[in-house]
Amino acid sequence: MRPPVELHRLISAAIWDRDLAMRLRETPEQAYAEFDVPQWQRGELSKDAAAALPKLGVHPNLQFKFLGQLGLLKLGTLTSVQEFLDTLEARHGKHR
Amino acid sequence: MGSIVSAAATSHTFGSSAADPMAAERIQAGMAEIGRIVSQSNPDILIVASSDHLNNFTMDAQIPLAIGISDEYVPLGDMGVPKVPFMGSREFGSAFAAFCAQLDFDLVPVENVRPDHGIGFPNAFSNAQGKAKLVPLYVNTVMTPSPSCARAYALGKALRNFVETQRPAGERVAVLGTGGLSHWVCLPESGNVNAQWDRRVMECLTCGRGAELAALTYEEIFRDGGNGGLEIATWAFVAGASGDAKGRAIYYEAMTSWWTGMGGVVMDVS
Repeated sequence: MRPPVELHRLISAAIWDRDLAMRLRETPEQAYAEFDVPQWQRGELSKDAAAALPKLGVHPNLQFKFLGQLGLLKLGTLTSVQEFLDTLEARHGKHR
Repeated sequence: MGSIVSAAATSHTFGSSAADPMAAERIQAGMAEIGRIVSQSNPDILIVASSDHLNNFTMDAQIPLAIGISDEYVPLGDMGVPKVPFMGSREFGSAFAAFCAQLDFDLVPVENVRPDHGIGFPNAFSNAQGKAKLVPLYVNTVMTPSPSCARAYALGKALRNFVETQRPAGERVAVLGTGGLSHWVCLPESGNVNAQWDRRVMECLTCGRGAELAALTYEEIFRDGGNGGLEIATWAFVAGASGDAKGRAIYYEAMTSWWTGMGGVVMDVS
């Protein structure tokens, strides 16, 4: 199966382009058009994006990013490392 | 000649403590201990090997092995890694790429990368003060074809050779391989952890059986450790760079609430 190269490019570009990421979330049709995502893929994505991604052959890491970009990521455990990093000085001191 | 003064391998993801606070604390203590050991080895250069998570590299040019040659790196900031600039070493990265070319390794020099959590997070807990110059080494297991453990192991040996024969006297180099252990990213098995396989990977390093790790095939790793488990190629890199030294396990948790096995080892390279 041909990989969904247009969708891959869109997801990768949206990592760095906040405006594009916003268009993807709010007006996905516009974002898909900008990247020439084929119509049949747009149809699948509009029905159920999470189910469509593996069906379309989207790279697993990009599936993860795409769901995050659309606000559909269901992994509730993601958290910032900052709190842990703030403890390092105390932890390292304890070992000395 | 230079020397490898510390070497370690560790998982590089992070999650909420809510589901299992005790296990999360043991992971944090383990990461902090690895960071302390690397930091206290006083490296001039810190090489952090990881796969990029398709943040800096794209599917349009699937680069398997690359090395950072920037003068400075600012982390991407994913997972909340502070966007604090770190010194890089253009000279070390470029010289290692040139050295590798003589050994039939095509290590792609890259600039202007924003290291994601695979490199930024371990750097933050091992090089918090930024005293060591950071050299990101990308073993991009997200690409197809994925760099094999055998290739990464040989690259680790090349690094050791490079440090010991080409680098200035007294230069101190720390090596950190990050990623794994077993996890399945956006696959039906997502959420599984294969603790038995994770332990085996760790033992390959702690018992000085790097060659066994290097012999693992893509199919075996994918089956037993998942697509995320392919990141253990960076552990094979550490084994090669450590000259098959033995090591010790620092932490391990089958962290199902984070959807991954979490582990760390420190090699006895002294």
